[in-house]
Amino acid sequence: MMISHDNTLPSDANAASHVAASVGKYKVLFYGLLALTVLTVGVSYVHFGSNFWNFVVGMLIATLKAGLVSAIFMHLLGEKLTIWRFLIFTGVFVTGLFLLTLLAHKDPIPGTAHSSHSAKGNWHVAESISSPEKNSVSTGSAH
Amino acid sequence: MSTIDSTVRHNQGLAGAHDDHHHHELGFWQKYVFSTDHKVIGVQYGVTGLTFLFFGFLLMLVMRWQLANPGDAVPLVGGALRGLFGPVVMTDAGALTSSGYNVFGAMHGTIMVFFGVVPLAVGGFGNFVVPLQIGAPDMAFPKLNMFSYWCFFISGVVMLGSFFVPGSAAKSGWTAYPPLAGMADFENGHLWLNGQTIWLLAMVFNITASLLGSINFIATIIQLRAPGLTWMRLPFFVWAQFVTAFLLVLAFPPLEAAGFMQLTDRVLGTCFFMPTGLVVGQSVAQSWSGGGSPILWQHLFWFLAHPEVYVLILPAIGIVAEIVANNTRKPLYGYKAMVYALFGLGFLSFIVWAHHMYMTGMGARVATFFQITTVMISVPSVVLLTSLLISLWGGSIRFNMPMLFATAFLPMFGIGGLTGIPLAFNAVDLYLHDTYYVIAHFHYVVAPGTIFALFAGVYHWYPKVTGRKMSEGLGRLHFWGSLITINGVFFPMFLQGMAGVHRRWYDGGVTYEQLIKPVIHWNMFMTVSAGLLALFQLPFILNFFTSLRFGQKVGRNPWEATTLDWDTPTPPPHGNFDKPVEVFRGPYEYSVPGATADFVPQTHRA
Amino acid sequence: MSKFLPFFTDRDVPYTVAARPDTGLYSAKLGIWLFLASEVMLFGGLFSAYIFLRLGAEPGYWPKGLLNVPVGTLNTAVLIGSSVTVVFAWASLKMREFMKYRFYMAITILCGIFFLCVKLTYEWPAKFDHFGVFIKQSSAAKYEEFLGNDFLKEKNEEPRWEVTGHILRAPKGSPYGAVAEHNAEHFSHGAGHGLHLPGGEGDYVIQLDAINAKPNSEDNLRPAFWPRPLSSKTAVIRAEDVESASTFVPRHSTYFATYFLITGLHGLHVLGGLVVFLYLWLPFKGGATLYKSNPEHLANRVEIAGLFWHFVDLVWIFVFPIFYLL
Repeated sequence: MMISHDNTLPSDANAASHVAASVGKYKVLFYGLLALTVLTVGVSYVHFGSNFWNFVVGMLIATLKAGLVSAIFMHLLGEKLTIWRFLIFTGVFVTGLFLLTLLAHKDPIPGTAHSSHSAKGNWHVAESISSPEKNSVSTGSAH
Repeated sequence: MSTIDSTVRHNQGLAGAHDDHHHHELGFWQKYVFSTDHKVIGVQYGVTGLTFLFFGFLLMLVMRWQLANPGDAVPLVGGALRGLFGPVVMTDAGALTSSGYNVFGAMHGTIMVFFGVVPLAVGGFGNFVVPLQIGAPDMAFPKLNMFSYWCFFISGVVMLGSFFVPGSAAKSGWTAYPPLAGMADFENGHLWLNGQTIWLLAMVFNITASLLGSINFIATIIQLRAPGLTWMRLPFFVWAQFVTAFLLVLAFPPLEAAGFMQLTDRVLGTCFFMPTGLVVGQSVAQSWSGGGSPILWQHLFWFLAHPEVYVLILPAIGIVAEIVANNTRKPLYGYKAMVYALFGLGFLSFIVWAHHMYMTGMGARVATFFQITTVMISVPSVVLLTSLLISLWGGSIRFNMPMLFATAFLPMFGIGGLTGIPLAFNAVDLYLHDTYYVIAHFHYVVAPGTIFALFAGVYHWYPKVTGRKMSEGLGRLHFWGSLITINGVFFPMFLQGMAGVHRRWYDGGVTYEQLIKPVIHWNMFMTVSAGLLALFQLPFILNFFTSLRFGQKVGRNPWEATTLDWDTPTPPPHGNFDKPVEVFRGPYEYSVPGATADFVPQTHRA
Repeated sequence: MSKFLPFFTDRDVPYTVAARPDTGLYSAKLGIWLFLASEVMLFGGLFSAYIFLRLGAEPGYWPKGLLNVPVGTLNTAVLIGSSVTVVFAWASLKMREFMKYRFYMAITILCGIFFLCVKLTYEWPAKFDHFGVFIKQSSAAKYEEFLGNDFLKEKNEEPRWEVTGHILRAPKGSPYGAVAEHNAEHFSHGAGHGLHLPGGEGDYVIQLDAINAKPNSEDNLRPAFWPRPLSSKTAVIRAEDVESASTFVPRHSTYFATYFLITGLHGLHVLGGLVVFLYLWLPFKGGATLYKSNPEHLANRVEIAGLFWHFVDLVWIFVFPIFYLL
C-alpha cells in the first residue's frame, strides 16, 4: 500500500525555480571542467624540475576538478550535516591509508628487501610449498 | 514539526504494514526463504552463523588432535574424514596430513571470523534486534537486506565448495600472505578451480555482502529511529552496531581491492605482490615481471583486519551491556562515556594496523607511531570494560542464563585485552610474534569473550524470536562446562607461547621437543579440554531445538526490560509494532525511585 | 519491478521518498552516500597500491608515455559531458519536463556507451598487440643503440631497460609465437621488406617504437601528445638477455597491472551505471513509468543514480592524469 503522505509529495514551486536557476551554473561548470582537462594535459608537457613536482601539479588540478564535481554536480555544497560528517571521516581514513603506507614505505630497516629490482634473489620460496608431503616432518616415531 | 506530527509520520509505515495486502499473499518461499523481513533475515544469518561456528570449531578439534597425537589417525571419524576431504587432507589411515593441517588452519580462521562471528553478531543480532530497538517497521532497505544475506550465503557455499576441488581448500592462512598465497594451490593444474583462487572469489562475495549490510544498518539507525528516540536515548547495543557498521563500510573496501589484486596475480600473472627476483625452488621465477611488494598486501589486509577485530568485539560488548543493565536492574554506569569510548575505539582502530607487521622490517619511526596508537586504543577498551564491571556494583543481580554468560564475558575479555598490551610493543612482539601467546591472546578476546557474549545474546533474545525460553538446566550445564574447558584450551597457550612454541608447527612441536620440553605436555591437556568443550556444546544444541517445542511460553516482556524490542508482541509480527511508538526516556531506567515497577519502559510517558 | 522479480515485495518503510525532518534526507540518498564512502575506500586502496608500487619501482621500471593521450582526453571530455547531462536530466524532472528528461538521459547513456566502446574496442586492444622486453641490467650495454642510457645519463634522466614495439619473431616455445607470425606478415607487406627476418630461433625480433629507434634524440626525451608511429627499424634481442617479455597486458609490469585493474574496475562501474540509467530511461514500472504516478520518486532515483555516475566521473578525473600523463 502506498502512503499518501510519503509518496506524492508535490513538487515545491520554490525548489523547481531553484533548480532552473542552477542550470546555467552547471553549463559554466561543464566548460570549466573541459578547460581544466586541457590544462592538465598541457602542463603535463611542461617540465617542473622533477617528476615529483609534475605529479603534484597534476594532482592539484585533478583535486580541483574533483572538488568542483562533488561540490556542484553532487550538490555537496548544500548537503546535510549527516552526510558531511561521515564523509569527513572517510577522508581522514583514506588519507591515513595513503600516508601511513607511504611512511612505512619510506622507513624500512636498511638492508631489507621490499620491492626493489636491485634486491635480486632476496625472496626465497621453497618449492616444498607446492608439494606438501615432501617436506613434512616425520612424526610417527615420536609417540 | 511537533512530536505528534512526527509520530504520525513515522508510524504511517506501521499502519501501512497492517493492512498490507502483500502480507497475506506471501507463500512459503517469500515468507521464510527469500524474505525481506528483517526478523527472518536475522534468523537466517543467525542460524547460518551458528552452523559455521560449529563447523569451524570441528576443524579446530581435528587440528588439536593432531597437535597432541601427531601422525595418529583421528579416532572414530578418521575414515569418514578421509572419504570426505580426500587424500590431500587426510592420509589413508585417517590422520591429518601437513597440508591438511594448513587447509584446516586457514579455513578455521576464515570461517570463524568472516562466516561465523560476523554473520551471527552483526547479521543475526543486528538484523533482528536493531530495528526493534529503534522502533522501526523494518530495515531502511529491505530488498538490499535480502540481497546481502543471499550474497553472504553464496560466499559460504563457494567457500565450503573449495574443500572439494582438486588439491582441497586454501592453505595459506586466513591472512593469505603473498608471495606464498600468490602461487599456492596451482599444482592441480587449474587456473580457477583451486583452493586459494576460490578463497579469493568467496571473499569478494562475502565482503560485498558485509558492505551492503552495513550501509543498510547505518541508514536504518539514522533514518528510522522512532520519534523521541534521540541519539543519547539509543540502547548501547544500537550504538555498538552503528560503530561496527562504520568500521565495516570503511575498512572492508581496501581488502576487496587487495583481493582483486591477488586474484589478478593468480589468474592473469600480474605482480602486485610478487617481488623481483623471487626464487622458487632453485631458480629465479622467470614468468613474473616482478616489481610488486608482499608488504603492500599486508598493509591493505591489516587495514581491514585490525578494525575487523573490533567488528568482532563491539557487537559482543553491546549484547553484554544490554544484558548487564537488564539483570542488575540498574542503569549502565557511564553510558555516555561508553558511547564516546566506542567512537574513540572505532577511530583509533583504523590507525593501529601495522602492529601486526613489526616483523616486516619497518623502521623505528613508523613502529613508534603504531606502538603509540596501539597503546592508546587500550584506553577506550578499558573505559568500556570498567563501565560494565562497575555496573555490577550494588545491583541485585539475577543470574539467569544470559547474565551468566555476560558475567563470564567480563573477565575473559579482560584477560584477552590485557595480554594484548605486551604485543603492542615492538621489542616484546619480536619475541612473541607467531607464538601460541598470540593465539591465546586473541582467542581469549573472541572465544570466551565474543562467543560467550553471543551465547548470552542467544539465550536473551531466543524468547523474543520464538516465544519460548530456553531451558535453564541444560543452559547451566552448557555454561559451566564451557567456561571451565575453554580456559583449559586457551590458558596453557600463554605458557607455551612464552616458552617459544611456534603457532604453525603442525606436529605440536615434536620436531623441536628439546627446545620446548617444559611445556610440550600441555598439548594433551589442551586437546582433552577441547574435546570436552565440544561435548559441552551438545546441551546447547539440544536446548536450542527442544525449546522450540517444549520451552516455557513467554509474553511480551519476559525479562522485564525497558528497551523497545520488548515492547512488541512475541514473536513480533510483520511490521513489528502493534501500536504507534514514541519514546520518552533513556534506555535503562531501572529501579527509578518512586516508579511503580522496578523498570520503566522507554515508551512510558512521563 | 515486482512484476519481473516476484520474490521482491514492497515493504512500507518510512522516508523512502520524503525527507526525514531531522536529518533532511530520504533514506536512499543517505544509502548512496554511504556506498560512495565505501567506494572512496575501494579506489583509495587501489590508488595507494599505485603510489606504493610506483615509489617502489626501481628507476626505469615504471613506463611512461605508452597510452594514447588524445583518445584519453576525448574520453575524459565525454565522461564530463555525460556528468552534466545527467544533472540536466535530473533538473528536467524537478521542473516536470518529462521529454527533456528522456532526451538528456539518452545523451548520458550514449556518452557512457561511447566511453566503453573506445575503451574496449580501441584502447585496450591497441595495447594487447604491443610488445615490450625488459633487458637484464647486466646485458643492457649490448643494446645501447636501442636504450640510449649514456644519453639519458648525460641528461640526468632515469635509465631505460625496455625495448618496445611490435614483435616479429619470438624465441622457440614462447607464447608469443602466433602474434609474432601475424605481425611479421603484416610487416613484410607494409614495409616492402623481404619475408626474411633477422635473428634466429632464440631471439626476439621487434619492430621498434620511435623511442627505441632513436633513443638519443632530444625529441624523444619526453612523451608526445600525438602518439609517434612505429619505425621501420628492427631489433634482435637474445632470449638470455631478457628479464621479462610480454605484450602490454596486465602481466607486463606493475604499471600495466594497476592500469588494467583500475580502468577495468572503473569500466565495470560505468557499465553498472549504464544498466541503472537504461532501467530509469525505459518504461519499467520503477523506471520512466514511475513519472506518471510519482514524479518526485523518479527524480530521487535519477538523483541517486546521478550521484553514482558523478563519482565514476570523479574517479576518472584521477585515473586520467596518473596513467596517461604523469
